[in-house]
Amino acid sequence: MSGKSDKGDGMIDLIIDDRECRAPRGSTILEVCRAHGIDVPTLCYDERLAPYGGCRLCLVEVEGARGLLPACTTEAEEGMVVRTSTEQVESARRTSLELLVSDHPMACTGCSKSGNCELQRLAKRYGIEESRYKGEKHEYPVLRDNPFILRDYNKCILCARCIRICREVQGVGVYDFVNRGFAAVPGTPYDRPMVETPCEFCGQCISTCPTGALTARPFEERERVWKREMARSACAHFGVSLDEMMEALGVEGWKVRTTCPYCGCGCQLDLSVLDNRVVEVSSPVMVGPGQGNLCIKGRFGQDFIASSDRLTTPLIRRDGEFVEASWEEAIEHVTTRLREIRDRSGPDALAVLASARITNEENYMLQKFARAVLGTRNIDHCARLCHAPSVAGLAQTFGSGAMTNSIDDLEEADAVLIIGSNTTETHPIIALRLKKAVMEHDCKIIVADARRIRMCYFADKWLRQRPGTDVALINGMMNVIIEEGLFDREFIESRTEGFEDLKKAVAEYTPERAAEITGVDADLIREAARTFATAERAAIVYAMGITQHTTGTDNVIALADLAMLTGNIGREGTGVNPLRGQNNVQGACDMGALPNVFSGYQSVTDPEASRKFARAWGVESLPQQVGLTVTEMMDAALRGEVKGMYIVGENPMMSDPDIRHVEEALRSLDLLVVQDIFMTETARLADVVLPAASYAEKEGTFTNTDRRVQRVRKAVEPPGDARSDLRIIADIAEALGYSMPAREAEEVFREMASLTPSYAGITYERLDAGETIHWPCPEEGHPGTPILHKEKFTRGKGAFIPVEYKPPAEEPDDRYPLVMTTGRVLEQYHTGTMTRRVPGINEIDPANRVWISREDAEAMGISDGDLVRVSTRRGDIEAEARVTRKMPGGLIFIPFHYSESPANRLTVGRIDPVSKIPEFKVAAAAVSLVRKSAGGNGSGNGSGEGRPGGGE
Amino acid sequence: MKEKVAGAIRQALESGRAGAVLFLAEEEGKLIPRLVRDAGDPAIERAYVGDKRFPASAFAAISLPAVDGVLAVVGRECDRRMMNELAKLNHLDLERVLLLGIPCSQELADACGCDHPVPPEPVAEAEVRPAEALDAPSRSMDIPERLAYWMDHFSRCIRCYGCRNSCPLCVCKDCALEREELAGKDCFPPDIPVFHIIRALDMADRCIDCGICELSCPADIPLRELYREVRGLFKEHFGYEPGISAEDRSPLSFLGEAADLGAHE
Repeated sequence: MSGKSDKGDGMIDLIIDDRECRAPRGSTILEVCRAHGIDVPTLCYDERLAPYGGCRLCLVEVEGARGLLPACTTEAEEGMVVRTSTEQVESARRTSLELLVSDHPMACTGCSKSGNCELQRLAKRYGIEESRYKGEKHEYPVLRDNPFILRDYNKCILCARCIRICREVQGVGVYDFVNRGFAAVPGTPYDRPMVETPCEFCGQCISTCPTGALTARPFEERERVWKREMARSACAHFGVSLDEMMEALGVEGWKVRTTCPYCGCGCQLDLSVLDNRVVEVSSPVMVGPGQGNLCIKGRFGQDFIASSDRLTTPLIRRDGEFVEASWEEAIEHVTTRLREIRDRSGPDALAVLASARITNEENYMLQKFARAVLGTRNIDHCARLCHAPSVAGLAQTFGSGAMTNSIDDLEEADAVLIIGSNTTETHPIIALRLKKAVMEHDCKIIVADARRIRMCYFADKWLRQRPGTDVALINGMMNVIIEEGLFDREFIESRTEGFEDLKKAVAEYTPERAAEITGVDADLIREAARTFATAERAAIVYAMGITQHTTGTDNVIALADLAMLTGNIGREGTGVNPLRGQNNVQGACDMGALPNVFSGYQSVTDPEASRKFARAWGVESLPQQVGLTVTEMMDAALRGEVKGMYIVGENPMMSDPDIRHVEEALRSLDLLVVQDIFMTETARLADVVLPAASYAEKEGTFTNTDRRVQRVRKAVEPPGDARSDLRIIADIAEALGYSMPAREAEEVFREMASLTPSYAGITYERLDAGETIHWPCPEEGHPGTPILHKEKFTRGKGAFIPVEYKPPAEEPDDRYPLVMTTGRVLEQYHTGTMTRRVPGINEIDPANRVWISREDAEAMGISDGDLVRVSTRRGDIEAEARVTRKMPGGLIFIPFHYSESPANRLTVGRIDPVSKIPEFKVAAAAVSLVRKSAGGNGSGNGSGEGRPGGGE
Repeated sequence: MKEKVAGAIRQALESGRAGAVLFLAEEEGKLIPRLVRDAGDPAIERAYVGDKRFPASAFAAISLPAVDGVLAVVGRECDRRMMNELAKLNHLDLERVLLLGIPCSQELADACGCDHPVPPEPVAEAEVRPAEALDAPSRSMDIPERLAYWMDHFSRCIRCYGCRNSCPLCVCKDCALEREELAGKDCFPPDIPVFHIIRALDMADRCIDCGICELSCPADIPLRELYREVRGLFKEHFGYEPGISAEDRSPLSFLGEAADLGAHE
């Protein structure tokens, strides 16, 4: 059939089942059907995947076409006449289904997929209980070769969704069909156990499997959930889905939509709850930043909620020991001591650490508590340790310190510079979008990273710069772009200022000079610069590898300069995109849990803003000086200037640099109050420990890395006497004589929005209705702002600021000949408080390992698995060596998740002068052998290369 | 009957005796459990009173946390017994459930071999006689024959766990049937007869013979016969029959008064 031309609007008209349907040109028949509510059965279809046409259930009749056509792979055309349920169509579907059922165990009452099984649903619909086709059935062993994914290929219908999602979405390709004909089945290379494949245990395959072939072991095997099994079994009896069954039983709310508490991607989760326990985790398809995809932490890392280690009662230290206390006692104790310190030494002797993990409402309440109730100017949180330079650098150049573009539009980029971001491990879901851009439209990725990270496999160019030389590298690229006339003259002229200064400064950074500093080949710098500058849409993605330096702010400014130089701001698929590491670090900054600003970045030194907040909070005045930062608070504590600290949901004893120094500081305090969900390394030093509710136990909002404000909803009750941070803070404020009328999350949000222009138009009502809103959203009807600086920069004109290369604070010498860098691994999260309490995760990643290059290891006589000692000027730790070619010579890498060998005992306390971020990424270190490993090769996987994908 | 049941549902809601009622409804030719909170709910008209059954007590346990006050459940005598047993297992608060009892039909009673087809205080009277017990082919066999009989049935087991999963009284978090050391791992048929004997023994003091397991079994194993025989032995030796009352405790659930652990120290 030849398509007639459309009407110029890109839309076509066709008739399906006698209905006139209008759809965008290029849609498949299936897409048109779905858009018009016409039900066409499918088994191999998933919106996240390219059409496959394998299951033959979506066959439809198209007038004039020979035979039946699969709706999922046939493009809809102008004037087509389609019928989706003629006798011939239904008979063909029935036959296909019977063939599938003939080799599928139909004992649904015992199957864990019952009620969620697409085959079960269709078999019911077509009234098929048994197949007319009798023949040989497969008998495969059930595979439990890893802690997460159970594979029972007896239930497989060969739809290839697992194979395709692993390849098309995850970009890994663990599975493929092995064998041919009747023996064909999805499998791993050489039938290796999954832990020996590149599997990243994201569980995307489980999420797409239409039958019970792939199921999640942690949700099925940890303990029996008899009510769930009863309900599933009833689904088989009554022929309904599990959600329908639960609705019928009056428990519609058993699935709670909320936001993942791990990294800043902000994936949406559905927590299934029975008997006050989260029994399953899934993600809604095509909703939120993840679109139904999750990573190992999001999908399998929620066990910490019900951990028996949770704090359940307030603890007060008496004679050196923690003693259980009632809330009344604890609040009385805390308020008395806070008052004492304030009366004796003034309010600035108190300091508050807010948290990037708790909700916006709680952070807002905390800064209000600090400023209005305690009257101290000292409030900060761990954003200081991650993206303070982004806030400072981007505010200077653009006028707003957040990710300029949305996660969704990263997919549109033609080139992406990924610098200092191990995206697949620290922001796995954003990495999926970048991989998609590569796989779908040949986006050119430039990775700048000293380590051979997973993204290198998707990269067009890989620049392996020496740690701490980013400014030289970026200046070198800008030198080439200016030299070769590849810059965007029109953008520079109309949108920016200061270009001449930049031009002058980067003229010094010829590729040859940059090569000398960075160790990257001069021609490679040239090529990378050309690729970036000539792309129609080029985006920059960065993270801690850029910011955690004494030149962090300079690094960020250089990237902003590069984006402006090439006109890559304000459009889809462009921008400067700092990936924020924690679920609500963006929100905690937005809420004013910073020493210099109120919510919405309104300066505390601005008398008008100060008056506005003082009036709203019912106090005479608020501290008008900028307070101390995290790093400065510790120094001030040591000097005896800060005497009392109130820490909520932070663990500086693991996350801050040079933790021996932190310990001294915290021990020298007169009062340390820690409010957390676990007895963290920091809480152990506290005078009072207050048990808090986890994200699954309270209402609120998180703001993810792309400024998307999303709801957090209560799924279960907090354990024991644990209470939400909101309630604890309000109770303490009231005990101090301050009235907190807004105590519920929604009321607090409303108060915050009324004082915060960028959140002013956001309401719970809009969020609960399913709207996606990125701030700024200045008024109720405003749709939000996924892309910043579209017409003009927040500050008016974008400011080019030239920056010069400065060497890191500490460079290798004879005694400490190696450079040490720190970071995260995919499986673990931050200080390990949550992920290290997840059994499956600790099965595949049990302990810390020091990554070291083959050449260095050989020179020192170290083999993979040997126990080594790493020392720096601050201290030393012991851990197993992981000898890997992912590391260049002269560099070692240590993840900071493990309390038994904490990387931050080694890091440098020296800070960036502007943003006060410490230099986590560079320290001079020495490695020595402690003990050869017993079995030749060490733990883990027999080789330091480990699993090619996961654990990289 | 249908009107009486609908009337009883409405009355329970209107009088405030119950905050919600759970019953089986017939919708578009399909049966589905339904929870209603409002006496005007049209689903009440669709209340089903035929011979198909559902384990009302287990559904009540799922629904109860979502209900304010008392949950009334339309059910049969075996549902009442299930509730008693679930209460003993601490999975149902009898103070918060109320049975709107319906009698079984003579056909259903006969098919089940049920001697208790009418619950106390049924919402509608019915003339139903207690039925004769069903044949138990294994009972008259000698031991080798009986073993062969059961082994033959068990050998068809595909270890789908349907018997356990559909059972409203199989509530353990840690299930012996999944223990590799007891039942082997993923082998089907399972290491027989251990698998089914474990379950039969576990059910001895709680099975109330509702028959959902046998209905679920894709291998047509006569599970009711097996459990009935074990229950019979239990009654014979301990004089205990599960489900009859909420107060009687199973002899397996407590130490006898005469037990003197001190003597063994």
